Amino acid sequence: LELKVADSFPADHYLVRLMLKPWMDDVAKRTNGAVTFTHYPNQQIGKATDMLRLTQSGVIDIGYIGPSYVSDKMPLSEVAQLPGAFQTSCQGTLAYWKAAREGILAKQEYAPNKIKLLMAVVLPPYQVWTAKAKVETIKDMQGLKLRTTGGAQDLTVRTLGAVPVRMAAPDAYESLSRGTMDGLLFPMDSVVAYGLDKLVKYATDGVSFGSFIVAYSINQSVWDKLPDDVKKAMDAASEAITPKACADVDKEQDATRQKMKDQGISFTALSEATRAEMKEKLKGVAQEWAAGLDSRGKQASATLKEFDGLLAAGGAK
Amino acid sequence: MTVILVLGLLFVLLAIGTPVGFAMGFAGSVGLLMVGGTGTLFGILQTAPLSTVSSYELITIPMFLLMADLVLLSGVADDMFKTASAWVGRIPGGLGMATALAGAGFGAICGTSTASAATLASTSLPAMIRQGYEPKMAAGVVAISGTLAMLIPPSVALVIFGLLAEVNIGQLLIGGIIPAMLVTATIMATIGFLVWQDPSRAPRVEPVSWRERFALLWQVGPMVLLFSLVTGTIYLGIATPTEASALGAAGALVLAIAKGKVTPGTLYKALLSASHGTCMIVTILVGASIFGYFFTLTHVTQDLVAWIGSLQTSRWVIITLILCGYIVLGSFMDQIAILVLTVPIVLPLIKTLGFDPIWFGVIKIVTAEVGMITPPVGLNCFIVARYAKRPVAEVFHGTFPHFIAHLIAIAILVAFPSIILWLPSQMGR
Amino acid sequence: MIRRATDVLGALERALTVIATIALFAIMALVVADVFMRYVLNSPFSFTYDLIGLYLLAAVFFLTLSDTLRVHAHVGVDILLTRFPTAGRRLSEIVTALTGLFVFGLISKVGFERALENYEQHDVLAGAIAWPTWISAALVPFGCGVLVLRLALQLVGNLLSLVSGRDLFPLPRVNETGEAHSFE
Ligand code: NA
Ligand code: NA
Repeated sequence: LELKVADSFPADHYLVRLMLKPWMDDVAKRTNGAVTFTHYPNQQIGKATDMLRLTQSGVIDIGYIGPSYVSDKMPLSEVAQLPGAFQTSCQGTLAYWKAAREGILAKQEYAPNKIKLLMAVVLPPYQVWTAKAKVETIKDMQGLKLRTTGGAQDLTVRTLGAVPVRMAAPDAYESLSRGTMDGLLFPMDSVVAYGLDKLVKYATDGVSFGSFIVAYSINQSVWDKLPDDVKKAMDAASEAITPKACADVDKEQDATRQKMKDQGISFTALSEATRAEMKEKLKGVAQEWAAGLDSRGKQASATLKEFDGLLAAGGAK
Repeated sequence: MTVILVLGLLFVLLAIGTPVGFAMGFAGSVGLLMVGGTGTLFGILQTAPLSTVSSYELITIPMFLLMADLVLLSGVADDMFKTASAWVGRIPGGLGMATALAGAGFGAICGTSTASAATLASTSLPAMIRQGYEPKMAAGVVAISGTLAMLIPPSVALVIFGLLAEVNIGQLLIGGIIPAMLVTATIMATIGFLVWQDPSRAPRVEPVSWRERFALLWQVGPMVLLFSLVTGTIYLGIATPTEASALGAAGALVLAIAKGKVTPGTLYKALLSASHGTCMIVTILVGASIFGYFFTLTHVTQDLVAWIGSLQTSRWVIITLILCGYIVLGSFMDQIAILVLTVPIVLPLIKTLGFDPIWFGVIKIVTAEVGMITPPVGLNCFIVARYAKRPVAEVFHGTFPHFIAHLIAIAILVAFPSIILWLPSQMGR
Repeated sequence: MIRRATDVLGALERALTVIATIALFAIMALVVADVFMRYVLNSPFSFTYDLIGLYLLAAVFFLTLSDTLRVHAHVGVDILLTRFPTAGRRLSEIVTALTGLFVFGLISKVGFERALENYEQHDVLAGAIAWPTWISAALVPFGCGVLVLRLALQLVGNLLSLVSGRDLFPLPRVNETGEAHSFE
């Protein structure tokens, strides 16, 4: 039994190393090699925005389906990408995992799209990365041009008085080095992936400006046709890898932070007062997000409530 | 087996004149059907066309094409050649060298080599012929100088390479600048050599007074301004490389208006030409993506790369073979088609061999320049032949010395990568 | 009959091209305005990025797809073509039509299904403006559909010309220079 797996990461990307590869190896081991995988990395088989359709139509069996890339099809998942919700990858990941496997997200988002979540990591919270201006208070953010990727991030940046700028990812390096923008909202590993660690001088620390979900899902009808023992093996491998992958991601993040510090990037932990003020302001973002989706007949408020409950149960906040 | 069958189908279709995008799309679809069945084919056809088009970075292609059409409309190329010939005209072969300089100057505001060749052919070529230049040599220098436009930013060809290779387009465009100077100097030196061999090829021209020379310098103003609008705005952080293309098009529009050349009719014609050009290029990109997914599913690329990576041959031998392959392909194929056909396969190899993708991109474009002037399909030679009303064979003959000189220039660029990589490396500072 | 169909289709294609050129001009104007708003006033538009990437580029491409074939601006390798007799060139046109019908007919079909699904499920992008995705998805079957008509006409016209020996459908001018429509 051979399954096609595709994503848009370079073959040696750390999430492939920490999550996908170990999972595939584990499944192969648990099934005594009955299941094998062919991995197509680097958008060899399609762009990130097409992964959902390619999985649904059976071009591939398992795809990296980032809800952000298909925000028209999976708008509710953004609940795990809202600002201010959690501090570590594991807090966000475990809550999202529950919601997307058994909760509202499973019913409202994964089931209608005919896919089943196999593994996910919610990245450690986004920080503000800047080349010239140090951000210590909300006042420091006034008028700063920050690159965002749209969605709730736009709202977050606007709420804090900064100016959201949209641009293509390949333009980010030039734009930051030449001052077309002042900084970006980014997860740490993307800063490194785009080579921006050579340009940024300052980063915020200990707050959350949002996050990003990296999730691999399988075509539901492919799943349904799998023999029961294979299903069981995959479920076990998934349950095993998710908490491990997020812990590894958190660990990797600490190592990267240290490396960046050694390079001369200064991390500024925001003061208690600033954090409280920020939290107050950003509360509105989650509410506005939920209200917008509710009005279109999606159950965003219920999703938000469930997600917050799962976070609290998992010890976040 | 499937791969050979599908490749054979592709080559037959290409040979009988099926448009490149159609041929690749069809061959790729047949391949997908054979490899994965209807589910795979339908899935790819449902996603690939729209997602090829729906990316913001793609605007550089229509914008650079529009800019080229508007610059042509404005007629600033005349001024550029006049100025260049006033300054270097007295040197033996001066008008030919002025043509190269005008080609470089025009290339700095025009993204396509054919538009540039057409412009030079209608301005500097008649001037040289009037002066008694050997027609063969005059036509040759016009054809080759036109190709500079694809090496100097803005450049549609570089942008397409950048999109395919997913490298930093800003650095790629900047990387073309110094090699373009080298190539311009090569063309001028070739002219010098030809005239030294036989002075009767290029009669002297009347001297131009210094006062007039400086007066003419002002004529270059619009060109410098337009060049700054594209390259300068990136450098100063006013716009991203993607946005700079739109600024360039808008600047060219303003220039054409200032020159009194814009009417609703001429503007529509420019927009129409740019739309057709965009459609033509994107059709090839769509066809190539369908074909590319077929290739991926068969694992040919991966196996090929792994195989060549495992060879004990020196990487310099491999890169030489690749470049020779490009020059052969370029003799009869469309350059954009070559890019989309080969970059997805060759680039992983280049990276495996430890070469810099930006370096390779610039080198690839210089080989594409060669392809524009080699028979049987040398678009720039066709254009010049048509404008000069001279036999195509004569133009090809006239470009031959430049062909040799270009090979030397390529060798220099391969031997000294920093000629290409130094300027981009300064950008991140 | 064929002349009549050619005229009607040509009129439709030209109308679509007008829309495409307006979209092209709008891309230029919007980007320039956006850069100005960001650099000078520090308040860029938030809508241009999605508007251009989602709709305008797709409009420029799909709405000119058929017209580009009509004016023979799709580039091909025509060295052999110039040496073909008329019958050979008609055959080449027929092959082009068949390949195109296969690819773009299928794209129209699956593209239509996708657009219909986007429409029925009211799919919109997340963000400040809820852009509906069915509009850009619908441009695919629409543009490809017109191209399919053009290709069908090319197929029938050339077949009839070949059979009857009369020139019922004009062949593209063999252009030694290839200059009019090249963009390198
Ligand atoms: Na150029
Ligand atoms: Na050639």
